[in-house]
Amino acid sequence: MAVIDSIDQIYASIAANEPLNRLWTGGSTGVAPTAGNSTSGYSQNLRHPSVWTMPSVGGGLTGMYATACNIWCPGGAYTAILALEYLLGTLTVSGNVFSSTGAVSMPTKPVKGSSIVTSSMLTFAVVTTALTATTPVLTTTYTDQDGNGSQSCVMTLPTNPVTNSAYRMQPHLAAGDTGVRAVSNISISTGSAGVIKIYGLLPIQEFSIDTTVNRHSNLQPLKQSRPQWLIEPAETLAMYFGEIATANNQHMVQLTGVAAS
Amino acid sequence: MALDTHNKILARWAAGFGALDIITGEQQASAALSLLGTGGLFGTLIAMQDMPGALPTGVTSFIPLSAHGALSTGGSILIARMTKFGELDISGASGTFTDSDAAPTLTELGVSRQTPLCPLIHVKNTINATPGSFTFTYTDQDGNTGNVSNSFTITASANTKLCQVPTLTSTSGDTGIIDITAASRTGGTTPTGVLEFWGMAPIGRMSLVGSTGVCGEYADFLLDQINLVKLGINEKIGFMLMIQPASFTGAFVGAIHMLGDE
Repeated sequence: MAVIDSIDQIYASIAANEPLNRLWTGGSTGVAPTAGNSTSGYSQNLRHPSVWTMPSVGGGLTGMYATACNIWCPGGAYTAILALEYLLGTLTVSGNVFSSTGAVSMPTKPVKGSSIVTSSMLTFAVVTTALTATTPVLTTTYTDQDGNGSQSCVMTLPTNPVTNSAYRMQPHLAAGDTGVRAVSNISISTGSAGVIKIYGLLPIQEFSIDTTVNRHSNLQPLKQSRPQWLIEPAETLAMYFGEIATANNQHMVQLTGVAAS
Repeated sequence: MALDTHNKILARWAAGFGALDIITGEQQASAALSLLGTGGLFGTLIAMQDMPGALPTGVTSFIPLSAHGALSTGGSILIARMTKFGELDISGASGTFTDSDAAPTLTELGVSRQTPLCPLIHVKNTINATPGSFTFTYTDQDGNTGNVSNSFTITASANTKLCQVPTLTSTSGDTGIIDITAASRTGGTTPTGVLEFWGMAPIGRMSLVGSTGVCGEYADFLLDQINLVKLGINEKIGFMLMIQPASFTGAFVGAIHMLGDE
């Protein structure tokens, strides 16, 4: 039985193992991301460069399920997603060089008693070093959610996107595809500088940031009707902001979770 | 025995091991809103609650089950277990740092370790008109010692209770602090005032949703923000109004409900 199958299972895990309670911050990058358009994910997204790494767990335990998650931001009108993040591939624009160094395929995770091969629920092309490129066409070759390889995602990025700009790939996946398991190649049509990384995400929590006083959210993971992802030791959580036009993206995150066996 | 089921928790409450502590605080003036400029999220340490100095008979720790309150403005209160790292008297040639505690060793997900905390800078004694800047030296989440923070410019005439979470991650990649071991000030003109360095481990969030009136809601740590934290004697719970609105002055009145663990 999984720890999140019942409230008593959660209390039993807390009593036996104690919860994780962490609070961390991400400083402002000071630059708003370059907005996407109809050929590059439609929205103005930012991947915050600071990430949090899941610590070790005790013997006989496999990881943690989040039970509470809060965010504090300066305010604005945008969304935020805290997600497990997996690097699927890297492109160095100069020389049009693809690299799988450090990349992984999407992981296997337990869901409702079964172990499943996941595909990305969200997939982003992230500019980790600013591009020098005029409306470059980015082509990603990937394995889809069902394991079909050699699928293509073609996007035309804006000219010279700044560092930390993130572009949703989902609208541009092959017809019928909903996610990505792995990336086998990335190429770009033009450009002289910059780096793009493809990240697959499994969301832990989504937040709505508003302009007045509710600059926070605590939509509890246990109330949401989607899979709860096991957060395993050494996995990383990253923060993605959606439709964020402001340059001030500093934030503070609370994560609370219970141990899973 | 352990409180490992909902029914046991309810029975414990019914057996008389519950308590309600009133929490009050105020901010009479907040001429300076941001303690450290753009160096992090700012707010007001609206109240600090001490756990009792002794455990009642039959109680092994104190577990916060819920909190509620009202404030004369809207906002979001962070409720956290507080550890004092030290304080910096900014007067003199470079200020005087007085060391306090490091992050406590706690069990977390079945592992006993010093759990990294989120730093908070708090004005203990009012800052003068030209206070200068400061840095602090810390041990990061991985135990690496001797890390020096960014230099933070102290806001002139910052009032007591103002607080700010200093940015660590934009430059260093650090996500937490085990200890602050030193701090010093530079610049300023005849600086005066005292800054406290705290570490925060979150308990939860209380949303105060009224922007002009007085209203609040429960922060439920039992069934909503599921987080049963066991607090020992003399521990402190901080209530921080984070990212406060402009020109905040006002009072907070609330309570926290505690259950005595068996």
